[in-house]
Amino acid sequence: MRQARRNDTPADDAALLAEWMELYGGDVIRLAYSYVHNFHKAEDIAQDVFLRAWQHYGEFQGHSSIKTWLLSITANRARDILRSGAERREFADEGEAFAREIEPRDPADVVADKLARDAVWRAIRALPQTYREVMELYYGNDLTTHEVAEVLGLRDETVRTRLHRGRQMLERALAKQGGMGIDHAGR
Amino acid sequence: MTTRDDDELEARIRRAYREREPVPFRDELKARVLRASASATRENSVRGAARRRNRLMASATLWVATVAVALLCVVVAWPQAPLPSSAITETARQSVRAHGQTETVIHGFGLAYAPIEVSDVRIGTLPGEPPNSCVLAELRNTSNRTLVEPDVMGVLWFTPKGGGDENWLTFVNAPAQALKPGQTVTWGFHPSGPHAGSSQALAEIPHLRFFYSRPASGASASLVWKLAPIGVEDIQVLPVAGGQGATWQSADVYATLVNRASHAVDLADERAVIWFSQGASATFFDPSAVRFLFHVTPELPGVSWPTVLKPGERARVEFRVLSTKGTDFFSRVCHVLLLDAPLVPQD
Repeated sequence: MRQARRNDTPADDAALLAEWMELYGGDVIRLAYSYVHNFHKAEDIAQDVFLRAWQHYGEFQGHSSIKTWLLSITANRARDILRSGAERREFADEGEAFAREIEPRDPADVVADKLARDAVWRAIRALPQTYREVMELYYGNDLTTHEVAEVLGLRDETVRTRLHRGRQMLERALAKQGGMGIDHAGR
Repeated sequence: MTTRDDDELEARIRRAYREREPVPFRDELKARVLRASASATRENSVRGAARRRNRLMASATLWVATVAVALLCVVVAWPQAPLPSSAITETARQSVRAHGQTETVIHGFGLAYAPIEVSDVRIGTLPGEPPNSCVLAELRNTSNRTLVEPDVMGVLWFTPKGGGDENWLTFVNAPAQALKPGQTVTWGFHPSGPHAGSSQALAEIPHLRFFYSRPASGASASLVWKLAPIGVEDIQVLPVAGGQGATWQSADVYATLVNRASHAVDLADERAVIWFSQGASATFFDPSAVRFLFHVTPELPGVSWPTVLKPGERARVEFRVLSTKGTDFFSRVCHVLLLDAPLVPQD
């Protein structure tokens, strides 16, 4: 990976852009999708993110990694879109969301696993965005709390607090879902 | 919450994230970004040249005002940098003009007929289906090599008994068994749609043609499916409540159409190709794709959209796709593409 040649003219370096997309395309589109829940909207955001990053590469300070920088642009862009009202309808078109709508015909243990996983997703999706985005970056993108803080422009401590509260909310939500939460019996 | 609960919850969250469906970063998207960046580079270079020229002009003006004798030198010596931009523009214009005179570029998909002779296309009954609800035909492999199902894709369409153009069409598969050179088999298909009323009996005239399941070049194409000037955005797939039976299942595909032409487009003249691919970048030719063809007119009860789209106008449309129970609609990537009719041979 070619690293920060910040005074280059990125406009002349399409290979660098292709490399970013190869390395971080999946992370960017997944994060965009987690906000808008629409594959095509997520693609539009991802396109915008890479073009913006490439055009403003000269302004990249190099204090963070390229990945966190790209994710930071993604989060900002996705929030802008949500704020603008352009994407209010959060239709779930991801596999795990639909899986529960289809009557499973699998063996009982597979069904039980799937139901449990779906229950976790229902609970995650019901979290307020401030907690969901932290969870997404921490668990979904395998970032440290420090990196999550960089992406979202928060203090590390705030990220830790949100993660903790997010987990608490999840636990409560799972417990409410009738048996889908942590099983305290026998402990 | 105990530490053990914490650990268990943590593990469940991690597992949920780890096992979720991936969101693909498609090759098409990568190509789109690279194209946009190349286009931005060209614009920047033109703008940069213009800026340089303006700066030089300003400098020259200053010189003219102060040193009259120097004027001539400046004018003669300077204009090297700005010129290429206008030269490029002119070349591009000439190039476009030249192409316009010699060839018409059609954006679309070339299809080549498969070497399958179709005869005795008729309405009939397949085992287990309602009377006269199926289309049967005799298929003969006219080539000297064995054809297998993934090699070809068929299009079945109907025309009214009183004459007229295609008024309903669908993709169909070739026979499941391999077709040896010269071999003839009877093929059958049970369509579902407006031609299957309450009795499900078919009343119109069926037609059938098979194509190779791969794109053909412009020169070798038997038929060209031309891209419509309609963009498709915001595609969503949702389950249909109660939309499944013992052997089948359905899903609703929603999409927003936008007229990108400078003229009005009658949606009755368009056809929609919808396909569900396993790979994010697969085309509808991909043998593993689950593909559908639709007229772009509302078919579902209570669903409506404008018949004609004015330039820039958008319409939200909805199609119901039906397939066998095992079709994994929701773990595939759904694509919607609009093509100009007709998609079927006119002979």
